[in-house]
Amino acid sequence: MAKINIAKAPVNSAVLPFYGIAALFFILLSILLLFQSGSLTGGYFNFHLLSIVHIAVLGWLTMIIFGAGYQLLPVICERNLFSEKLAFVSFLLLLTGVVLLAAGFWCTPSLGAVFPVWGLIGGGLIFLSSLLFVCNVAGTSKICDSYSIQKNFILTSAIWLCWTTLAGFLLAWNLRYPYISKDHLELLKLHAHMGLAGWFLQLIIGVSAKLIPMFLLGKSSKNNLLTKAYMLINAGMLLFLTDGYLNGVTDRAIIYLILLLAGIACWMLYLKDVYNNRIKRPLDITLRFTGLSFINLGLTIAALILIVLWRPPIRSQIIYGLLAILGWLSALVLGMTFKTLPFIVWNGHYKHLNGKGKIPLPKELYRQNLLQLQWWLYLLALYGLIAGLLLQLDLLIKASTLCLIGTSLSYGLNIVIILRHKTIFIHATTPEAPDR
Amino acid sequence: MVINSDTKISQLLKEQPKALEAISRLAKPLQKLRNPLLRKLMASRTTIRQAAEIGGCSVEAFFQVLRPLGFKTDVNLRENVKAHTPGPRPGWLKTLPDRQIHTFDVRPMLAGGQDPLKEIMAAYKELSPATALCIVNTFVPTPLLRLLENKGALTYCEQPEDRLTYSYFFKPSGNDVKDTSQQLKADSRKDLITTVTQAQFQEELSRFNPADLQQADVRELEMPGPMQTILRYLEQLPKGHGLLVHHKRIPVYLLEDLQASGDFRVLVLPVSDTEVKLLLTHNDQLKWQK
Repeated sequence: MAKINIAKAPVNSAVLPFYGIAALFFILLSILLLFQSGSLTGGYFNFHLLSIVHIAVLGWLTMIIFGAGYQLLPVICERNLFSEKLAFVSFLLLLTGVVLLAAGFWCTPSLGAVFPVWGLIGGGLIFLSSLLFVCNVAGTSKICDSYSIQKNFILTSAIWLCWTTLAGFLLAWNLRYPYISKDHLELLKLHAHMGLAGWFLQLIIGVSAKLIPMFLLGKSSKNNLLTKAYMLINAGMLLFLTDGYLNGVTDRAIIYLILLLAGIACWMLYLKDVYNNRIKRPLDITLRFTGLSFINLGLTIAALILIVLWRPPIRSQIIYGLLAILGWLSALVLGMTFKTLPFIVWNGHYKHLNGKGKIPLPKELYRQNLLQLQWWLYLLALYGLIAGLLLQLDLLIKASTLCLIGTSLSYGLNIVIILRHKTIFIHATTPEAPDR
Repeated sequence: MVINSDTKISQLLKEQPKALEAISRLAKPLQKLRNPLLRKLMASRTTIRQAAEIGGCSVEAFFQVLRPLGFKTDVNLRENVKAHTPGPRPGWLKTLPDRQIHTFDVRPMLAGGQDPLKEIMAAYKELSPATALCIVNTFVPTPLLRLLENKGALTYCEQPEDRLTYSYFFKPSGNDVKDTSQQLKADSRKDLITTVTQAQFQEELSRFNPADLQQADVRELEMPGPMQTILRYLEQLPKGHGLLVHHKRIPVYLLEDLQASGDFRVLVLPVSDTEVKLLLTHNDQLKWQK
């Protein structure tokens, strides 16, 4: 059965704005990080840091995932996107929401530590945006009977996103109008992990289970591993949240962490099976980013285990967050952008061409050397930051954030180059050379 | 049968075996066609225009001997008859002093039935860097151009008059060598993938004996099945054979891989939004040398 039909891809306006704005937020976040590098060495409940974190997870990562999701779902499900209009509205809501929310956090210290109402509204808009995303995902995948497990992961992750943004909205409300008797910081942990394990992790599992076999040209018949992963991760998350909400985060978290890790292990076994059955072909730099992302996921998990078991000093939690957001998630996006965006733009320009001539390939829509630069700067930035935090070297931290700015600028420039691409189609009219 | 300058020699021979005698009498180099082995190799890959260049005669001369055999010439395609028209002289040639150009007239050797390739290669090898070799003969020696380009030479051809061709081969000095050969490599990679019209695609297909053409229909396969299938076919594709692929879309990720490896040439014929045909062959530029 043929399952992929590129003709179903949505119009570019439903997809491209997400990529462009996400790149802007990435640049903004790296610049803010330079000026706020001091807050990295303090505790995690710092309004400037909260602002930066929300720019990262919503403005940068969620933004680009929305865009890629709106592109990918119709292709996987062989049908048109449920609503391109809703997709665009979700873009506007998310953009406005992130700007208001992040600005709200940023300004709180200068407003006498009172979270502004408009920041709250921003949180509400983000929640609405995530609802629209769920509607589109559910509506698009409704009639799609194939890839049920991948689809389940993506839909479930979207629902987790809604819960996360709702919880975030309620927490923000609590900042302005305190009404929750429980410890705000404990609830923040639940909110953060709903986002990390509920939304990002499950989305990545769902998408990777579809895309990695495609990019590696391997396949696995062990779909049951994915089903196990789905059940283990969601069971672990539900137990963690219920217990955490009722009793606070206790040592029992280790049990839930083990469930979650077992789920991740199942997913890894599935990917290993894919990897073993692949056809050998050159691994390009975008896949190097993906590989690095998995290494960073391993480091993130190691950091999490250390935190749960030994409760080390407070800055280890910052390192954990940094590894998760800037290491694991960002590395994936930094690479996968160049597997998806050029293809989307390429389709817009070259799908309907005919006649004789040369066509550029998707990877010729951006600059390879800029991507190389992005790779090395990113490595310096991430591991420099972590080393700087571990050794408490402010100078190293500053230098690393400069590298991060470089990373974001080279990334952003490549995005601009792709988005501004003009159709190049050389119609060959001269007679062919005799040697053809 | 209606013929034009793009008609294959093999089509002529198939239609009218007597055409062999007529063509091979036109010029000495074309007598090679009498050799069954060379004929098999050349005829399906050579058009009248290409044969005219090799033979150093005009396309019209072909038409003149073919018309009595019942062939009709296509007047609409007369513009194709014009001879090789080179662009302006490139910069490296314009600035090169005459004493740095070594001239080698191969016409006597060709007239004597000798193949001057060995001598030309030796002459190029002896050339000191930043000088050029000028080969004088009667036709554009395309295989030679490609051969020396692959060795890093910059080439240029001009035809001041009929049956007189100057081919310049410039040997770059030191650092240039690597640059130009890499540049050429990159350029030739860019040329590996071409989209074509229906007519051109059919023409390319007709170069292959049915037995040398494998087919793969991957339209009904689930991703990444099409790419896996095509790569498996390509692994086993003998040199000189072609693979015709029926696809639902232009397989860009496959094309990126093939371009990176540089091992295959791809012709792309987009038929409709949901149908694309591809013709894949080994990238063996030098196999037309003989």
